[in-house]
Amino acid sequence: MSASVERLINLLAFLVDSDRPVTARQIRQTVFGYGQPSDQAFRRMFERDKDTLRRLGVRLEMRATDVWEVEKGYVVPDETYRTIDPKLTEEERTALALAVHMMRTGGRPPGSDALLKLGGARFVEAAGPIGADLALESERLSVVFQAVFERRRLRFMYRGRERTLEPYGMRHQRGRWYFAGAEMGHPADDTRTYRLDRAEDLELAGPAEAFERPREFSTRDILSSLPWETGPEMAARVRCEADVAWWVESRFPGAETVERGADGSAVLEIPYFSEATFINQILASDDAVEILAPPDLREALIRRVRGGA
Amino acid sequence: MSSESTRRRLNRILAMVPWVIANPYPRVSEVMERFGYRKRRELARDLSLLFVCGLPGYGPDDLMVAFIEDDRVVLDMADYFSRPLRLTPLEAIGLLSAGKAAAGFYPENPALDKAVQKLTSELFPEAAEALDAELPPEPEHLDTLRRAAADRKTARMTYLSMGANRISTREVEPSMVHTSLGWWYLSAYCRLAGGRRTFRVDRIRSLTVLDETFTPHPGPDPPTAEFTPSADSIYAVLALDDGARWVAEYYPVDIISDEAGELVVRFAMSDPRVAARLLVRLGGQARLVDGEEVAEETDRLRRAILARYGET
Repeated sequence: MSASVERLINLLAFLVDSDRPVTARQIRQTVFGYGQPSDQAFRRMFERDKDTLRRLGVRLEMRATDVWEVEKGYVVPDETYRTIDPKLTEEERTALALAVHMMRTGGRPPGSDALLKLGGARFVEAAGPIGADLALESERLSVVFQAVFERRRLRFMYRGRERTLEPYGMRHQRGRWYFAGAEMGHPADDTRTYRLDRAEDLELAGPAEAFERPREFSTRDILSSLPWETGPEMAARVRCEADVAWWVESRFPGAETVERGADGSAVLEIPYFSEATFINQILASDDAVEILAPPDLREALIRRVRGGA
Repeated sequence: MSSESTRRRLNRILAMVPWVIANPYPRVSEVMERFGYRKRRELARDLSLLFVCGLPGYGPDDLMVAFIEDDRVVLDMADYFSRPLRLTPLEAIGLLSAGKAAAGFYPENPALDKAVQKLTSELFPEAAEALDAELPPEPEHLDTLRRAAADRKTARMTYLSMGANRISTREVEPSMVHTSLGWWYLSAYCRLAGGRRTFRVDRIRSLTVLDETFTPHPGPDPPTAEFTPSADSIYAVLALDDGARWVAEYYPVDIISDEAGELVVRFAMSDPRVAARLLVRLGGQARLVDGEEVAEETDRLRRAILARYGET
C-alpha cells in the first residue's frame, strides 16, 4: 500500500505546486512512482489514482496548457480546499466525534473521515454501548446531497417513470432517507416526497443554482407529504392474541382496547391512513392479529394472502 | 491492498499535515489522539512516508521533512499541503446527519448543538432548512438496557418473540443497543438460547436488571440488525415485480436477472420464515421461483392466516 500512497502524495504535491496545468505525459515523466513500462499500464494506474483522489474530495480538472489551447493538462481547482474554518472548540469537536461514532453500525461512518479533515477530535471512548445506523453508505445519497445543496435538477426513475425534480431537501427518519421537491412541469409549491432507496438511476441534470427553494419549505414537510401520512383517517378493529395485544397497543399510536377476552386476547380500535401499509403492519404479526372491520380492509388482507394484489 | 484502505490512509495523512502546519511541533500523543492513530508506530510510518515524498527532483531540497523528535512531530517543506481538503458530499452528509440525529437524541448537550450550528452556518448554510436526520423515538427500557450493557449487569426480561409471537422469560447479558431501519435493537448473549441474539426493544414487555455482573462471552462483535449471510444461511430465489423491487435494497440479495419488469434475486436468510412472511406480505407482487423450505413455510403461513379468517 505504501507505494501507491507515496505515488499519490507525490502526484498531488506536483499538481498543487505547479502554477499551470500539467499534462499526463509530464506526470508520467516527472512524478516519482509512475515509471511504468507500457502506455497501457501507466494509463490504468493513472485512472485508478484519479479515482482515489476523487473519493478523497480532490477532483482533477482539464484545462488548456497555453492560450493556443493546443494541449490540455490537469489542475487541482481551488474549490478542492476548504476555505472556511468553522472554528469548533475542543469540546464541540468531542461532542461531534461521539455523535459520529454512535452512527457506526452498518459500515464505516463517512462522518469520521470528515471530522479528520476538520482537524480531528480528542475524545475518550469510541464504542459506547449505543449505536445507530443512518444508512449512510449509499452513493445515491451523495448525488441527492449535491443536487439539494447546489440546487441542481435531479433525474431518476421512480415507480416506473422517469422524473426530473427540483430537490428542496432531504431527511432521514425511521431508518430511511427521503428527499422532496417539485417535479418539472408542476408548480413550485407542489412538493412531493420520494424514498431514496426506491429511486433508481439517479443523476444530476443541469447546472448549479438552477432554481430557488421556496421560502416556506422545511424538512419537516418532507414526511407529511408521504401518502401514508396524509389523507383521511380511518379506523380498523382488530383482534389480538393474548401475548401480542400489549405490543399492538403500544406499536400503533392512538390504538385503544375496546374489549378484553377471558383468555387475555383483546379487541383494539386502531386509526390508520393507508390500507396497503396497514395490512403490511398487521401481517408482520403473522396470524396473531386478525382484522375484524371494516369488511373491505378484511377482504383486502385475505386477497393479499391468497396472492392477489 | 484495497483502494479503500489507500484512500483512508491518504485521507488521514492529508488531514494531519495541514493541522501540524497550523499547530507546529505538537506532542506525539496529541496527534495520535486527534487523528486516531492507535500505535505510535503507525504515525511514525506515515511520517517516514512523507519524508520520501515531495516535488520532482526529489532531492534533499524537494522532499518533505517529517519525523518525531523529543516526543514531538516535526514537519517542514510541505507548504503546498497547508490547506485542508473540502468535505466530499458523503462526508458532509455523514457529519451533519450524525450531529443532527445525536442532538435530537441527547437534547441536553449544548456543545453538540453549538457544533451543529457552527457547521451549518459556516460550511453548509442550506442545511438549516434542507437537511435533517432523526433517530426513531426512544422506546421504553432503552436507557435501562444501555446502562446494563455499560455496567455489565445481567437482565431478566419477558420478550414477545418475532417468529412465534409468544412471550417467553429469559435472562440476557446485554452488550449494546442500536437502531437500524427504524427500530431499536438489543444485542445480548441470551442464556435461554445459549448464544448471541438480537432483540427488538419494543417487543420487550418487562425488564428487571439483576444484581449480577457478567463476563462478556468471547467471540465476534455483537451482530447488528442487518443480516449477513453465513455458511448456515438458507437461500431462495424470488421474482419481484416493479412494486416489490425495494426488497433488493432492503435485504441482502444477489441479483440474478433484471428484465421485462421482473427482478429475480437470490435471497439469503437464517430462517425460512423471513422470506415466507415477505412473500405473503407482497401478495401478487412477488413469487417464489426456487426454495423448498421457504415454499413449505409460505404455504403453512398462508393457511394459518386464512384459517384465522375462517377461509380455506
